[in-house]
Amino acid sequence: MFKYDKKLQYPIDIKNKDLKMAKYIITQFGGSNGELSASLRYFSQKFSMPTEEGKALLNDIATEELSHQEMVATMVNQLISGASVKELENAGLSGQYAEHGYGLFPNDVNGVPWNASYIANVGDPIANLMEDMAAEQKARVTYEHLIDLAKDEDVIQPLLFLRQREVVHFNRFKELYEKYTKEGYK
Amino acid sequence: MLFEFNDNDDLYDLDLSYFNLDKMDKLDNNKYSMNLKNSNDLDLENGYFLGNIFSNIYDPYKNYKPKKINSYSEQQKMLLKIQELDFIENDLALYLDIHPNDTKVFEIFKRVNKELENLKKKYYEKYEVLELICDNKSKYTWIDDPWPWDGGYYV
Repeated sequence: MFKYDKKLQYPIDIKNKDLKMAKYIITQFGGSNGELSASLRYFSQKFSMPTEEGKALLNDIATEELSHQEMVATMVNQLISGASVKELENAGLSGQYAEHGYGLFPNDVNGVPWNASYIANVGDPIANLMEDMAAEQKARVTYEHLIDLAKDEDVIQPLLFLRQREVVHFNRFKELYEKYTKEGYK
Repeated sequence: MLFEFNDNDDLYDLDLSYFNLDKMDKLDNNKYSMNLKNSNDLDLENGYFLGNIFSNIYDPYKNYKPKKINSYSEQQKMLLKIQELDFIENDLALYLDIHPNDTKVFEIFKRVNKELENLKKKYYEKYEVLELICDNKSKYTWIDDPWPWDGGYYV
């Protein structure tokens, strides 16, 4: 089961409104390489991991990714805070406003809603871990693109943190992959 | 130091160097085994703002420099320290998940956990609850603002 801790994994306090940045960062909330995809991918895969190590790692990374989903949502929420309808319109967010108002909705940078086909689970530990390693790399690159687009330190710092977490997760999945390969899992 | 403190900060004196590997190296090496190639691979002092306590897999991006997080009130400092210890605990756990026999890292993990528990208890008594189970004051305070996503909390 899950229990909520009333804190973020890493503090976020964005003081300056930036609607364009909000429009880009939303992709980590509901895009193919985003945190929702990551969390549900590992959460689904944990049930078919063959060893204690695999069950623990997939469970614990899935849990951490959900806390990243909260961080990403917090960033978007603070970036649009206090924006007028006119400002949203000027930033190309009129469609977003028409459908969701100021509410957060898991879609990508082009407004395409989150889709379960973003994740995979073939029930095989080797194939799944290979998928997970690729997913972490794609998420890392997406964060790099977002950092390239960002100008405000309040935005850059949490993005750097989130990017580094993808690096760590990639390495842990890789270690487990190599262990399983040695142990003869195919 | 990861966080900057006021000179008059005497609320708590948790020093992360308590966990540093110089001290850990003084642990009886015959008693503990370690899977990491060397002790310097663990950076408990800077790991939180780097997003990674394992120097051997740390990967910087371009010339971007992760910065220290400043906090000005006693409450913010204490909360940040809780977040930091919680992060260290989590990062150690992901490592231990696939290296469960690394008794040296497990020893560090236990010390971090103990410190985290103590600090959380102090924080609940003085400020607010972070977990539902700790809401045992005279009135229900779980609903109180700020919620983590509200912002305006850090300076």
